[in-house]
Amino acid sequence: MSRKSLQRIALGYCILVLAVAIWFWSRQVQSVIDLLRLAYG
Amino acid sequence: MDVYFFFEWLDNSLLAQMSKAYGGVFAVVQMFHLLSLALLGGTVLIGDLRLLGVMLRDVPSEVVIANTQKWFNIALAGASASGVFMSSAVALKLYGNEMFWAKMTALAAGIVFVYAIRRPLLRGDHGALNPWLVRLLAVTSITIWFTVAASGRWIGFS
Repeated sequence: MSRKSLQRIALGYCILVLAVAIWFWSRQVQSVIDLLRLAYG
Repeated sequence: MDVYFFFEWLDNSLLAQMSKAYGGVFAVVQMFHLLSLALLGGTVLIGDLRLLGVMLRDVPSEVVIANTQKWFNIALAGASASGVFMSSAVALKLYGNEMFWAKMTALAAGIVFVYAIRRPLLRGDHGALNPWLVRLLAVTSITIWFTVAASGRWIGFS
């Protein structure tokens, strides 16, 4: 595989991973906030 | 694809019998797991912070990446081997744990990222790469391994 196409794949992979990570961690933080709301109102 | 059979097999394996019966052995393996994680996190941070230009700026990034990669390999092998042993003690419990699957997904994404993308790209001259792509690689790497470690820790609370 050429270096140029590997760079393109890397760009796509990084964007995908970062988008999924942001979604995943925002979901986890939201679940903690919901739990704290349930406990303390 | 249902992999429950694998967890059932692991739960009945010799590894599981050992990890359940000998608390001392489990503790020693857990120590190696934590040491491997510390080494893995250290190599990731040193390499990626160098790529971001935060530290070790007087050392060429090619040298830092080449030197940290071999220790990263050792740390990943150690963490994986000790992780399988530790998982065997609570295999069926882990199967139903959402954070365990999050960790495994992040680990798989990390392995693909390191060996199929990061290492081949950073093997040559880093100056030939787009500097923003190099920074993006570093941020993605830190994000992936943070997710592996944090979701692993979260397993204990979920």
